[in-house]
Amino acid sequence: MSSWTFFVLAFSSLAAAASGAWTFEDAQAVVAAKGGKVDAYKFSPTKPIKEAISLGPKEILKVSLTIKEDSKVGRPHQAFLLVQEPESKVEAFFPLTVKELSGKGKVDLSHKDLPAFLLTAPSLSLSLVLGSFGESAASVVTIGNVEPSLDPTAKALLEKQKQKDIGGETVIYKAKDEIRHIFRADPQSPPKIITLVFLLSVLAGLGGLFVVWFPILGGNLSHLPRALKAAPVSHPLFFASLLSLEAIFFMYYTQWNLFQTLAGMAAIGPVALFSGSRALREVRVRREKGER
Amino acid sequence: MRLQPQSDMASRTVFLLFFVNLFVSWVSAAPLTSERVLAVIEEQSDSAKYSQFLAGLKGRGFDVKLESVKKDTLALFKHGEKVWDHVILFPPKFKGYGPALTPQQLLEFTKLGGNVLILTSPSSIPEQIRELARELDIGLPPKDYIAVDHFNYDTVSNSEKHDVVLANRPAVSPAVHNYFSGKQDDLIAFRGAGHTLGNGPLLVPILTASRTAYAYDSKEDFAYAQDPWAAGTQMQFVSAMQARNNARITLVGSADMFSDEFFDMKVQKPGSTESQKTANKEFCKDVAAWTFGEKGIVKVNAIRHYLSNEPNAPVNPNMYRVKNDVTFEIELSEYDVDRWVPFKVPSGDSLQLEFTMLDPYYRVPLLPASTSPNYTTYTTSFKIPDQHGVFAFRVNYKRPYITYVDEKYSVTVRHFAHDEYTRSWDISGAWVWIAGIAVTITGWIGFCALWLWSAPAAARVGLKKTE
Repeated sequence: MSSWTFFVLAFSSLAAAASGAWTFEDAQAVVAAKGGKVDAYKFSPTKPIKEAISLGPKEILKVSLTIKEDSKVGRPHQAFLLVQEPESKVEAFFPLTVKELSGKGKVDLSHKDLPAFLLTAPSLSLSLVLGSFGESAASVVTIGNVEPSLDPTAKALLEKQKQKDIGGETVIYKAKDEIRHIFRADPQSPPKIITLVFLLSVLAGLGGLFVVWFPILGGNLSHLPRALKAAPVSHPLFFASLLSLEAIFFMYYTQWNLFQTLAGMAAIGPVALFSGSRALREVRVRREKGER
Repeated sequence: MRLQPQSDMASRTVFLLFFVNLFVSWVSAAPLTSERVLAVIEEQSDSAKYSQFLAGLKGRGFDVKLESVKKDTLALFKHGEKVWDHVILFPPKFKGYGPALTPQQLLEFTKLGGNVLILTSPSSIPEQIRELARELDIGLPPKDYIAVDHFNYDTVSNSEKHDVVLANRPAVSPAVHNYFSGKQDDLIAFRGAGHTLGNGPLLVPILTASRTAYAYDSKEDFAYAQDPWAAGTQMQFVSAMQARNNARITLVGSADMFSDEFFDMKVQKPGSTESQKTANKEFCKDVAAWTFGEKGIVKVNAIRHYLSNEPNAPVNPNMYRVKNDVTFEIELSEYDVDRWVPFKVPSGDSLQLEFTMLDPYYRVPLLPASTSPNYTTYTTSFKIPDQHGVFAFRVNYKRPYITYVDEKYSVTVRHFAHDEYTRSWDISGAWVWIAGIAVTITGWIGFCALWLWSAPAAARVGLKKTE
């Protein structure tokens, strides 16, 4: 800070002092209960009340002080006690009643004076604002903190009132909370090892069937040459058409639609019918000869 | 603005939207000179008091017509259509504004999209304005209540009465577009009455009183303010209502702040060493510009949604499938006095897309993707929920000071088609069943071969012969 600005500052503060300022003295805040218990707190413009003042539902906080314009007592046009909720900066004002001659001002504060919004706050800051017309400088001074104590039922009621006061149901135009859809869980397959065990058991069933047919029951294909000789077209054609039908089903399973499948069936079906009847007629001939 | 009648965007299909946009672009191509402003003033001679403000309006292309309150033919409508686009009401000397400017007429005017700027002075707030304010949930003080502030007053003009309150520009908030913030160290001189606001979302404060300001009865409370009408930041100097159709009504507690006297005034705060010029001229211009739709008009240029992962996916299809990945885009422009500029969402705010069927399944932020000279494209991607039905993409962006954006576009969300599910061979649990079918087929073929070509085993031949 240069000496010049210091000079200007000193001069201006001097000038402010010369034109006067609103201040107060003999100030005290008293919490009076019905039972007669009284807690008194002294404060001054430079020394706010350090400890938080607890204010119960039946108690009254009485703030009294002597207001001065410089050194002589006076009555300012504006003498308000401001009660502020520090977080939202919402503030209520309570005008002091001030005597003109003595400059004595007082204001009472109890639970029923405070709106629900402030009363439900954990802590409230008290300030005193003094100002008036003319040259004297106005002042706003923080004088302490009040903690309203509430019983739970009253608190619940007040919370409801508070919601009503701040327009609980009315819309506020602002961004809303984000929402992300939670999807249902995907279907789960059992562990692969279990699947493989059962898969092997199914395949083992097929193996068992062939074992029963061929080595045990003596199944064989020894009539094949004879059958081919007796009906050289029908037998291969019938067996091929059976394989084709299964192939059509396989194609339907993997890529064909129903119409392609039906067309395939329409082509293969008559072949299977006619070749089958010839082939089975040949089988009957063999049976009638006593060869089966 | 001309576009306001079309801006009631509550329920509009995109088809209609495009149509309106065509219309809007045609309108904005036309100059603003067709903006008809009715200024209602007691005497033509009084207009000299506000000449700078009125000249400013005319300079920006408004066609301002001064009419006296007493004029018989004064009317807001003709054949059911509004004759004016905007109305300025200067405070009358007598009791009221006459039969053409009843609260009902003014509300009807705003219903048709007209904007109203109401200037009041503590000594004459006509009953018509009080009634209108009651409808809007604005609390006006009784007659002759004026606002003072012993901490922020002008020491030059009147150091005794402290009635010229010096207000700072509204603070810049990260969450809202505040068109009135201007330069933060500006001082705005105000002489008049404060008012209070209700809780509705349509009401917005423009200029708020400081913590130490209060309103008192200038005719009664000489000695001291025993029962001030309002005090602190709950009291407003200028505030506005933006109706659902985006018509704006602005209420100013002081007509003086629009006067030449205040425009040119040099003011000095108590305790400060030098005087500075008021920012009333700029601030009042901002107030009028906002009220008359030169600022804070947001429009939707286009909406697009499509499948995210397919390069050639059709734009804006009618149908999606559950669990599709979808991208949604919206182009937003903002009107700035004479042209469309890209709309920027404030840093503390979020433009959100909802995907709703009765309730939102998604509410996700739309983020700026690209900017062109006229618009910003906001976009987001998400996976369509696993729920079929008729859903709607909805952008419901209603914020203080800007026109409301509420776009809704419904799409059908269908189930998986029968050939869109996972194939059975991809599901490990199905392998056992597939193997079962394969085993059956193989067994059947084997059986057929045996039936056709198996020779009887020797023992069996013997058995058969005995039959």
